[in-house]
Amino acid sequence: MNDCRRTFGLIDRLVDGRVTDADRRHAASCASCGPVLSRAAGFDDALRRSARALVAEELPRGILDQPLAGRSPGVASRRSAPGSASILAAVAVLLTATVIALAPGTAPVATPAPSATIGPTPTPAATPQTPRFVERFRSTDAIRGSLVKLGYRCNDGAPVPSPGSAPDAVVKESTVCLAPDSIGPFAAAVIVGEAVNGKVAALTIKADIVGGDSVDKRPAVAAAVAKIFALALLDEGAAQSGGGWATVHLPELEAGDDNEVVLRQVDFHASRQPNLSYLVEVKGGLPG
Amino acid sequence: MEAIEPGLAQVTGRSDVDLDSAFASARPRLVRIATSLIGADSAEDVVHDTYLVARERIGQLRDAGAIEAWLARICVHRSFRLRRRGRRLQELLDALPFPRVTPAPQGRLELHELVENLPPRDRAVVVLQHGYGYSLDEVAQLVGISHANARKISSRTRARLLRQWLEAEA
Repeated sequence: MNDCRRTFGLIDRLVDGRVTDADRRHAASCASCGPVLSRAAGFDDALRRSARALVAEELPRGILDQPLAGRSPGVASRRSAPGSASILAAVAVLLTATVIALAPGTAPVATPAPSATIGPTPTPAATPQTPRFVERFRSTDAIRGSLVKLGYRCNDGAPVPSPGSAPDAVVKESTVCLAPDSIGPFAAAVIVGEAVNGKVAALTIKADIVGGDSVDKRPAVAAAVAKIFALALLDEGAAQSGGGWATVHLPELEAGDDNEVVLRQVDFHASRQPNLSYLVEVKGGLPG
Repeated sequence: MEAIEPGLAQVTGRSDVDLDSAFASARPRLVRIATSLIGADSAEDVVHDTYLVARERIGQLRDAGAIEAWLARICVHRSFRLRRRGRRLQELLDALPFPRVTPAPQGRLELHELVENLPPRDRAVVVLQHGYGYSLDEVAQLVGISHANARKISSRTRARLLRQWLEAEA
């Protein structure tokens, strides 16, 4: 029975990993908070035991062998790029700030920063030699020109703070383009990201369905995204495949869902934010 | 592995009948793997999906000797992807013209029950990471998502479970 007003605040801080010394001092003498703190300390062990208890069959050896994987079961394994998470996070934060005007009255929801990794820290792959940059996008000018022909309004972008050091790290938002109202029942923004060499290394699309989400409006978002792929990617095959992927999967995404695929060495990733915004990221600056 | 050796030899020929033989041998294990990952209710469906995917893609199998691992990997992947069908079903249920009654939580749930009640995708990640002991990189490979997404799902699910577990105590 909870009879301490601080207990649920303590739970919030335990979940967020920001318990204070004051919490610990209080819990030491509180009949309500003390057991909660003790219980939290045993959570990871309890989770391992609980999850282990569900295992009815071991997975066969070799299940992770790469020759076996070979994208066989429709699995697209995403290449890990040094610093890519921080780059995408930075782009997402800037994107959120940029498109505030798209949804008046709607408070923008920032992309949540990844929480601390749980369990054993994953072993990173062997440190790769610096890979060369592979150009997979048209130039910023070419992309902007195509978007303008479709009625988009484009502004110059801004440098990205704290870019990574990888060759495909986005150091600058080279242009930010807002879709015309006539595009459909949604608002959309396209951000083109350039690497340090001035080549386009990433594309980010954010879209918000206007007037409430409904299944019948989603295909229009997917179609617009596919069109952007077609005008931005150099490889027509990648653009067509990516467009097909968007057409199939974007309409399926609900809040909190995400989907990704690697097609012809281009990474496509789509997610639906808690506020139902679509966030689509395309990267492909490194060799596959 | 011994149990499916005859199937392996036949699968080298890549005919549907040969896949059937290998699949029949591996099927009980696949059901248990799917049960581990997403529960018994959906395990049979996932294994059926596994067969359909395997049949369609048997030509992509590079090493006939690895068919059991290949099938298991498809099974893991299909388990993780089960969620969408659940969502569609949920949408259909929501569209019914009469109100549905959601049963109230019954008392304090143990942690293993909280894990069992997770959505299939979250449960699969938790079981792969904490039950099987795979790293997040390996989990990401198994289910076909990026490390960042695996970490996001894992972190979010852990936070949810921790909160429910602690609130049960409070």
